[in-house]
Amino acid sequence: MTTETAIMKNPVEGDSMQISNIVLSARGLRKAFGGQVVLDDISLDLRQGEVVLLRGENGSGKTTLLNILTGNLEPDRGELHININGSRETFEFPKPWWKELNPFDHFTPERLAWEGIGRLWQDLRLFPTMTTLENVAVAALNQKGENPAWALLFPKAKREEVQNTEASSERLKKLGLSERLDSSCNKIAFGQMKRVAIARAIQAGAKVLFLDEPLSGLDKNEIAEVMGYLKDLVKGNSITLVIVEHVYNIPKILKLADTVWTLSNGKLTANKVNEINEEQKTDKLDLHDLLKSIAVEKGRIYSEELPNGARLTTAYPDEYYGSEFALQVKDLVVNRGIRTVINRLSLSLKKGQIAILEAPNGWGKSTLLDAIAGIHPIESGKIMLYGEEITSIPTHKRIKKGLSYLRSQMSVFGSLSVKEHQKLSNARNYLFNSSLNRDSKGSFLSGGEKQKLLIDILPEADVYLLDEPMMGLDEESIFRFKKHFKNLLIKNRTVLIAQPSIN
Amino acid sequence: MNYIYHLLIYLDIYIIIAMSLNLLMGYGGLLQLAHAAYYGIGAYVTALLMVKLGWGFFPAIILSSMVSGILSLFVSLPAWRFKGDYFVMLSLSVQVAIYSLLYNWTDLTNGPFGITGIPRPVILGFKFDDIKSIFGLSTAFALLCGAVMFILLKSPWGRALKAMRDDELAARGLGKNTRLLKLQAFFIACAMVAVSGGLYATYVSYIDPTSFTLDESILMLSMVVIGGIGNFRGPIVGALTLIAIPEILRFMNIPDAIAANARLLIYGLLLIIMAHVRPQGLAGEYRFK
Ligand SMILES: Nc1ncnc2c1ncn2[C@@H]1O[C@H](COP(=O)(O)OP(=O)(O)OP(=O)(O)O)[C@@H](O)[C@H]1O
Ligand SMILES: [Mg+2]
Repeated sequence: MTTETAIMKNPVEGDSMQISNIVLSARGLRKAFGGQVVLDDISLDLRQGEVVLLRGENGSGKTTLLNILTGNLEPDRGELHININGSRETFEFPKPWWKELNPFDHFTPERLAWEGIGRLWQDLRLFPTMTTLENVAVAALNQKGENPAWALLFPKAKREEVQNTEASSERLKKLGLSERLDSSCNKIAFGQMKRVAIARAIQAGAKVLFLDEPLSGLDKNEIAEVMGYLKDLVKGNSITLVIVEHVYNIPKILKLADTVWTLSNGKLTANKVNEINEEQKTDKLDLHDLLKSIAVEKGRIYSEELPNGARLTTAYPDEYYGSEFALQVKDLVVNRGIRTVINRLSLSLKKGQIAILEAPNGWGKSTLLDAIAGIHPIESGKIMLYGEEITSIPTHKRIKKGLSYLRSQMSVFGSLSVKEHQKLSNARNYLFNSSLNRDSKGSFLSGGEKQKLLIDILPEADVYLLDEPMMGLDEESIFRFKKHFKNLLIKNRTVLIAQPSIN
Repeated sequence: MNYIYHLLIYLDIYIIIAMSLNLLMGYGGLLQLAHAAYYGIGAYVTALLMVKLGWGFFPAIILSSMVSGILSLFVSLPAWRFKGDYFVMLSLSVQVAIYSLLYNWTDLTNGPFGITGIPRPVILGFKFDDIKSIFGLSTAFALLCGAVMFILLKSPWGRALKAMRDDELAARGLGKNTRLLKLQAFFIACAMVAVSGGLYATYVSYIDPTSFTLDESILMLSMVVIGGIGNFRGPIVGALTLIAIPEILRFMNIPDAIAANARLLIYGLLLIIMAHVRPQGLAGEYRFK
């Protein structure tokens, strides 16, 4: 019965949607942290085969909602109905007291996983010591060999395991990962990791999959690969997707989505995709816009091809032409293990100059910035700050000499509050102060809020190195970010930004 | 010649201990400090059943390993909630509690005086009386435990355990029942270490609580860490190293009084050096965080 109705899906003539099954619905969900109400009386229905874009500002509660719908967090109030595998399950909150007594608490991630709910984490959470194949194979549910007694005594378990391994490697081969089955899963490209993580959730039997920012941090090719995979998943209508994304990636998701959920002030509004016809402001949000505004009138934009598909675009106002160099890198060679990632790279930036380094993932952007900041050792070459060589001094001294570095995937201090973070840094004007709760602990911040805090506490410096600074930020924050750095540039600071290439 | 057999019997016993602890530390990511206590439970239950009730070796060792497995709930249930340092503290207190039980429950265990006259194993009428046959028996047990461990670690169960060690929340999100996994891992590890306890009791024929102290637990831990955790061969290498060190000292003609201390010193040094040079151990593949 489920398949008949689902095949009919056609998002434009929305009516056929009405007859397909509701696989998950929530009524009156509420969640507050301390006094802060994050989700307020949220109700939603999710139909089989539906693709939903979930959007909202930083801190609007997207991840919190995902946590609740995947069993990782209990709401304060509300109901959850799940009907994926034919059996109907209801969870009510607050739990009656006699359920509280039960130590085998039934609202858990593993329980919802058995019901067919899966998740892609914002930070993937692959099992780092396992190969890609093992990462997928481990996910299979109800393997007899997972019972130690069966594993020891019955050869049947072994046969089942052989089948599982075959199915898993088939799955990965279809994703173009046939060469990578035995690679350690943290030695593959970021885009491949995302696909492995999705495949893993599907192997665990997920029929409803929640994806937290599946496209963030990916370059152009990787985005195409992940989108291709998502398309394949929804093709047969058997998989339902709820996708959280931000600014740049929203248009890409909209091509696939049927429905848009918007979270704002604790409320959720659901719309059909064709009802959403706001203008897309992504052009104005583009970083290159920052270059253009710096280069206005007298300035110029230069674009330079670097080896292996990278591109360095730079602009500076003419009036500073001829002024001294702020950052110089000469013939830099950097290895990662036995592989040379940066081979005789030179670049120089003047005062008031901004450069954007766009490179495919795996090119070595982060390694390069780490090397400039003195975190990663270099093989040969020179690094100079205002003509003074800093090649052999430690990181903290480089920072004292006027370098400021925003690392990608850097994290905030989990147990320190926002206020304490600010006290640690010499920064004075906080860009995002108003949107951050100053008493909130670092580990409780949302993904975007963490990024904002990291930007806010960047030491004031002459030269800024920023690795994917806008990752996870919402529209409003990106505007602010750009405005702030434009001001810095006008004040003669120098900025080098690294980004995955998306054009 | 007897001396060599004596060493080899100890090697067998240590290999079983190290393998079982490796299951918890290397595969489960659980730093268990109460392992010597469960080793003690194995030794005491076997000894008491044989001495006081006159049980045969086989039934005694099977029952003792079941008892130890069931008592593993003392550590596995807290492991549901406690992680990292908190769990270490907890297993530490279990170690201390079980040790003081062995020490103070004089009616049953004879307290500090220990249990004497533990008979040598008799199986199907064959008495394992001379050292060679005991070596045969201990090797058979080591091989059996090794085979069990080998199959388990290669099985989907072992893989699920690794997943839990790497990222418990992600594993749960894939539907792995991590609570059950912990119960099973502790049951198997504690039951297995009890077997080596039983072997030890019947081999030396006299046991007292001093063999099952916290020091012993730490020694077991360093054995596993030095050998390397997270794979099959690491614990074997670790057991070999720990057996070899005192023997090398002996050959260097160092007086006994110094050698005993020198031994601990060398273990300590070895641990520090390993932490710097090869955090994954001599033959391991996983770094304990
Ligand atoms: N465990 C917690 N304790 C206290 N506050 C929390 C906790 N988890 C989340 N919050 C707060 O709830 C709000 C919503 O967080 P959430 O992670 O859901 O936002 P989000 O919509 O995913 O944002 P982003 O786009 O930045 O990822 C944030 O203000 C965050 O600080
Ligand atoms: Mg989020």
